[in-house]
Amino acid sequence: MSRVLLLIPTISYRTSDFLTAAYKLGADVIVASNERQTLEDIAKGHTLTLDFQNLNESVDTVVSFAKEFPLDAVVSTDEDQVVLAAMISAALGLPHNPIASVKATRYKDILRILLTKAHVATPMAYCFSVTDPIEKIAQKVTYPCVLKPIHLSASRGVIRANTKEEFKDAFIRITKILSDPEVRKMGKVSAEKILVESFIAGSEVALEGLLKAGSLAVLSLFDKPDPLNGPFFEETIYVTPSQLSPIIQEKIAVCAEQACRAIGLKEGPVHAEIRLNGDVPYVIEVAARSIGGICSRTLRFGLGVSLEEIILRHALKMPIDAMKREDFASGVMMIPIPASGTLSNVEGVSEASKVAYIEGVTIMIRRKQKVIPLPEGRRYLGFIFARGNSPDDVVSALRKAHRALRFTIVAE
Amino acid sequence: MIEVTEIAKKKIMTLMRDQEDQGTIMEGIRVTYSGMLPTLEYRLAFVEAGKEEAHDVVVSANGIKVFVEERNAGFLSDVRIDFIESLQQTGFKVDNPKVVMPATVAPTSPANLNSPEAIAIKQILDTEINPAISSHGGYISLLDVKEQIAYIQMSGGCQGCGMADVTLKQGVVVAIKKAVPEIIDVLDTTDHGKGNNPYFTPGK
Repeated sequence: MSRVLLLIPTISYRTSDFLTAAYKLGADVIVASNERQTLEDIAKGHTLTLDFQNLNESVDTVVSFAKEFPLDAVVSTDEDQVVLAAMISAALGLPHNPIASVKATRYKDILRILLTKAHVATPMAYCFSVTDPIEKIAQKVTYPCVLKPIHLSASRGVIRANTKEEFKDAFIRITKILSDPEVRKMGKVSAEKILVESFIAGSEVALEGLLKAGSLAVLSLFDKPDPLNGPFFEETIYVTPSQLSPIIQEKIAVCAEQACRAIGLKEGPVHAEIRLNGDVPYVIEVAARSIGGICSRTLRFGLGVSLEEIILRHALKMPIDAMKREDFASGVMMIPIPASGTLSNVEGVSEASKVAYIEGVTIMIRRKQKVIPLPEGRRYLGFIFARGNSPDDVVSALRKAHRALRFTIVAE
Repeated sequence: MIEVTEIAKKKIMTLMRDQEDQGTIMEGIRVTYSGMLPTLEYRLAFVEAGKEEAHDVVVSANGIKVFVEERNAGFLSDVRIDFIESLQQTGFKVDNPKVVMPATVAPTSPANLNSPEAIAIKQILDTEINPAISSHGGYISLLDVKEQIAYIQMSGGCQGCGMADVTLKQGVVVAIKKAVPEIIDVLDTTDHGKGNNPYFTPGK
């Protein structure tokens, strides 16, 4: 029986989907997490506690564990642990992406350098320290531009500035986000930098792919029907199949593969965010992971195979018999947080669930929990899923279901 | 008896032909299940010709070869595989008349908590599992044992917890199966959406 180590942070949205897929494959699963599991002593060899911030110590712990419980694959369910997964795999002699390549996907400044060097279209970028004089920087950059932290994801801290005044406000706001102790702990020196890049006008798509020996298989291309023009870049609807022309889709796929090659990624899942300026694709992000949140539930392949199953099959060198997405259109809406405060009530879930083509409405934030919108926040209120005959049906259904939901947020 | 509806057969045959076009001959489909009640998930996957497992049970249903693992053959023996295409749902659908939701069990079928298996499971819960998960404010109750499946319910810090599936699959299932080898699976009946005080919350 194959043994897979899943690196799952306690804040992961994807615990259940990865575990379900692993069990379906009959794999022997070990879950490594950042907090000790309550039943670790009762079921020895099934869970492991790692300090995800201390990479070298975590590698040593897993290497020692693997002497007693050998491993065939190491998979990170979330973005924050992809570097650790590569380091553990390297230490155990398991197939993996080069560690430097995976690190490059985690730090936007390095990513921009590698893509530019390889002549892959990507926004022109500058990197500044949070202590640099704002007035001088504001004079130096061209407008409109986009400011973003180096190491944060999910559009957290990403702000567009059209003028010097907006730039200064955005810079100060991001500096404040980066001063959060948790953010500093995670980013270390990267938490002292801000990337400023040119704004690429146009629509945006997300590509979900799987790399095998450096060759990229596109699993799905999502259109993002809501314009992402700032000032904040909140993700809302993802819908697939893309309605872009086959020629443009091919250009996007080629561009994404070139980006992976430039970074040095060779194996495993890839999630790329790409903007289209006219018909020219610009790579905004490339991550060595699959789509975030529980958005993967919108994807089904062959007879109903999940994205997680494909990822695990690839990691465990098991045959993948279906990488063709189903014929239906499908989509997800990440429900944005409209205001900060405390979530006191959620209404309309049943009504939203009954909208034609809607397959599910999942609220992730509990009542009485604090909610913080972008750019400071990083969570969504929940997810709405739809499946239908056309992308238009799906998008209409998602919007209608969203309108049926009512969130009461009490300001503090 | 396993049933494959006409529309499901048509869809399966189309997908099999797609695979054949790519050079892979498929022998049939495999049915497995996983997850937790009330959202128990059934999965379908192709079985490539020549890659059948030695201990598979194979049933021909409407001309489609359906493979199930020997240990699950009893539990899956009456599943109905359909393909739904409606405004609310599209895709393959597997119904299993052997799965009885706990809410509907109670009036017609009293819980079986006095069998040797149930008593042994309760002892494991009382002496090992619950004392351990109480540190997170969690508690697990045994609701029933039917056809070698233990039905449990999580509450307190476990209900809605982002790591509840880890506790279940990597701890509870392991401990129960080790202590009571007759048990083939443990199914969680908890409505995690209603958990008000989960120990771990996704995204936070």
